[in-house]
Amino acid sequence: MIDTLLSVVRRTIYGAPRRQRDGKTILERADHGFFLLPVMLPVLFGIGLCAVLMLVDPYDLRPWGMPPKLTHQGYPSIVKVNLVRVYLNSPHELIMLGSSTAMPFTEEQLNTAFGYKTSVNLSYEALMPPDAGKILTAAVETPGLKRMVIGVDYVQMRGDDKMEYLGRGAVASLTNQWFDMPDFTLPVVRASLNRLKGRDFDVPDWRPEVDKLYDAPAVTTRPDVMTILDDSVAHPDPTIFEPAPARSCSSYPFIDRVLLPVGRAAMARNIHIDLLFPAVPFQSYYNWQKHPYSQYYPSWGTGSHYRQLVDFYRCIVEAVAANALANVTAHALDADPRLTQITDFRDTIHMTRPEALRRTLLAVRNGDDVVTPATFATYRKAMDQGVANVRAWRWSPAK
Amino acid sequence: MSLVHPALLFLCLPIFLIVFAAAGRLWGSRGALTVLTAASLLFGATQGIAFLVVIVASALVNYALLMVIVRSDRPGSVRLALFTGIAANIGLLTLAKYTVWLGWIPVIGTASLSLAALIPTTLSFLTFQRSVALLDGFSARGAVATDLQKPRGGEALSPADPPLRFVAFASMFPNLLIGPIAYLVEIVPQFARSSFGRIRSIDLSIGLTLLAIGLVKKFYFADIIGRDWVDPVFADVAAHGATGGLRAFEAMVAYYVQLYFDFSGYSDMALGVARMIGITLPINFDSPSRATGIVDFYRRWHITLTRVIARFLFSPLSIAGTRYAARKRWRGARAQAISLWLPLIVNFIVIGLWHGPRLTYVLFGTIHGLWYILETEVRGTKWWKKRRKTIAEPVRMLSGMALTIPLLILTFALFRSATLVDFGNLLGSLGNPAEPGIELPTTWKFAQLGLAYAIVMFGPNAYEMLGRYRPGIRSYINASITPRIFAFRWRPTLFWGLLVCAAIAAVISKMSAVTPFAYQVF
Repeated sequence: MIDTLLSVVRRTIYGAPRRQRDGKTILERADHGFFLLPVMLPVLFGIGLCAVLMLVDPYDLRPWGMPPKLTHQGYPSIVKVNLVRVYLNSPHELIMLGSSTAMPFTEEQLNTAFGYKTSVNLSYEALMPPDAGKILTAAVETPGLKRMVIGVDYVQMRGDDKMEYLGRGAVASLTNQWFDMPDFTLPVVRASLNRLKGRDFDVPDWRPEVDKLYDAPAVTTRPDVMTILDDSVAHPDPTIFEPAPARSCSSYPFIDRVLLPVGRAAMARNIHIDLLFPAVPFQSYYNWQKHPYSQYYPSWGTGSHYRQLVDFYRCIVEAVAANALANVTAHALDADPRLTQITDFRDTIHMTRPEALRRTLLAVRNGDDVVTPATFATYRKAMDQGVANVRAWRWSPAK
Repeated sequence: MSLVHPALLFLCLPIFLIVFAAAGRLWGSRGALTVLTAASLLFGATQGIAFLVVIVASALVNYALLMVIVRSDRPGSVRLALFTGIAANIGLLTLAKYTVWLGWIPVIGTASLSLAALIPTTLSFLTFQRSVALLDGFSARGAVATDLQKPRGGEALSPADPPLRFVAFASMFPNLLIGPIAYLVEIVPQFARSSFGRIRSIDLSIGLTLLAIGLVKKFYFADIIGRDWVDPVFADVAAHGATGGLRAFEAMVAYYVQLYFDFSGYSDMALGVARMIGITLPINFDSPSRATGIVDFYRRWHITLTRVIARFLFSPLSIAGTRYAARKRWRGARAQAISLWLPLIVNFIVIGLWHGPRLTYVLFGTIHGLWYILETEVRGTKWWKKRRKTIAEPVRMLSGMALTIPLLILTFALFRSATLVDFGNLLGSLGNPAEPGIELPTTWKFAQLGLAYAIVMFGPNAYEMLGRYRPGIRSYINASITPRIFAFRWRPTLFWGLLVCAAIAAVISKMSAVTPFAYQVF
């Protein structure tokens, strides 16, 4: 029995010559010529996936396809970046774009704050200047656009041409051709099948990933993070107040290659632009200084990191004024004590409490934190004081 | 569009196969060939209209010149046509590819810039294939003329056959972009076979197996190794001038195997897709990581380029050098230098330059040329000939591999570096401590790299496995050194069908992110 089995295995994988009595049993007969049957299964499956996607065209890559029907509950970043072309081709009154600090704002919050009906937040993790430039340039052409809200955080300080995975996806969504298929995934095909049935382009699997963004508990409930933050404040890195090295404003590609061209194009189309300098708990600046995380910080020089950030913002404010971009307003939310309470953040940098997010948008709408070259010294002073006066949270389980 | 796009594999390819088979059944081989040509031109159009215009115009010019070569009775006209054709092909390639070096020339520089902007896709493979077709026509006029015109059994002669067969050969979509570079005399006779125009289940089975192997190589090895081990490190070195020592070492080790999986994966796919319609292309890779020296390596790596350059550049140069040395009655090193060393160095510099206008490619070619000369000379000495008999075959083989692979890893790291400075910085980084904040690869990732090396060192290659079905045309016969336990032999049975089914199913989950092939830019 074992000999027979071994012989079969040997013949199957080493292809030993057929013996006289081969092909006598039903199984052996079935074996020969049955190669294509199992192989055709995944091939037919692939053909099916392709057919659905070609019919629905969920990412608007082809001249044909069904009109989009997107959910208002948001999409995971990996899907959202592929939907950039769909959003920009449909009428929208407000478009928000930023990196992870701008992601938690919902369409509903944006609509409520600014009184629009069709707002969309296209923000995704690690938006870099090269992808920001390409997306915003295309966004200006969006039919019916009245306002753009651009989140400007430290990632925009980068001086290189690097794009992260999501950024490359977003840019590709603008340039993809009919045969490119970033939509060739099972969830997208299932969502497309829903679209075929007349429902929204959506699948339940995406919900937890999206909801995670809005339902996260405050960072103050996380002892591991709070211990690090408290230690950073209680025993600060001595360089936190060291003067930042001088960096020329022309060394920021974000200003010359993104902000100014997009600002001018928007002005020509009567589109207002709000630049948000996102609120960050003051404790976090100590953490950045003490525990620099290399991935997104290649632009930091020696000396105080937060001062380098403030200098970057100064360059932005001055560039806007120097180029007479009357349609561009900068909002320095990071110096506003109402918005920098650590209890509103899910971690050291991302504000997620809905109430705080609404407050932030109201401050933008009301112009509470507008900063101009004339008021910049006041803003800088407020930042210096905020950072200098912050105290450790002294986290304890009872609190 | 390339062979890894789901739209090609699951939409265009099935439609093409159905139409091809229907045309073959209704209108015979001419109908099938017309469908193949039309599909190839449509495939070319997906690379841009400029690309399509250039490949069609170039195919027509090459065809007209080939006809002069094979039909003219005047030797002067034949030579002129050959020279014109090769000059036009090389000129087009130079204009499109070597913009960096031509930019300073007033008109040519502008033309080169415009052409390079219009055609971002490589023209290297197709221009070489077309030039070689002219040389084939020159060296075997009778055979080529017959191949182009010979009617299929039972069919009448048609004046449409030669142009149709040539354009189909010159533009055939499976190997249009990244090879393998085929000879006209290898492919055109297959168009005249009585079975051409029919889809046979055995061809489909072999084709799907090769396609699945190529897809697995691309998506499960080349892309993952490139993303996790190679690209970030070379980018860091280019941007910051240094990286951690361990990362630099890992990237160098990983790149060699990444390039192998990437390029040989494409070659497997090209052979597979062509085989589905009954066309057998030449094999491009034959387990190069088991090479026991640089001479052996070039019989296994990018075989179709090696054989073209050896046949049409090295051999004429070497023959001319030998004649010159004989005329001058030179002997010893002087004769060897002109008849072998110089042709070899030129041969390898051209191979390096063929990849693009970079000093790193030139240096890569020069180092390989010098290495080739050194090895040839050592292997030719009496000492070695006597010594090799005293060393057991496995010991000689393993020590050859142990010497060859590290040097290949080193020289391919040079090949991957954009500049000599980058390569210097990469080598300089080898002594650096680990970078703070950069995570070291996990054990699982190390296992993946280890598995990749284990496969290239000990696994059977696709052509060994499918050997009894002649999956490709062999240019060189290399002894198989696959351990017996891994010497699997494919047959179109249920078991192998299930394996291929699993491979395709696994690949489908990865196909949403298509990354370009490394050789798409060469």
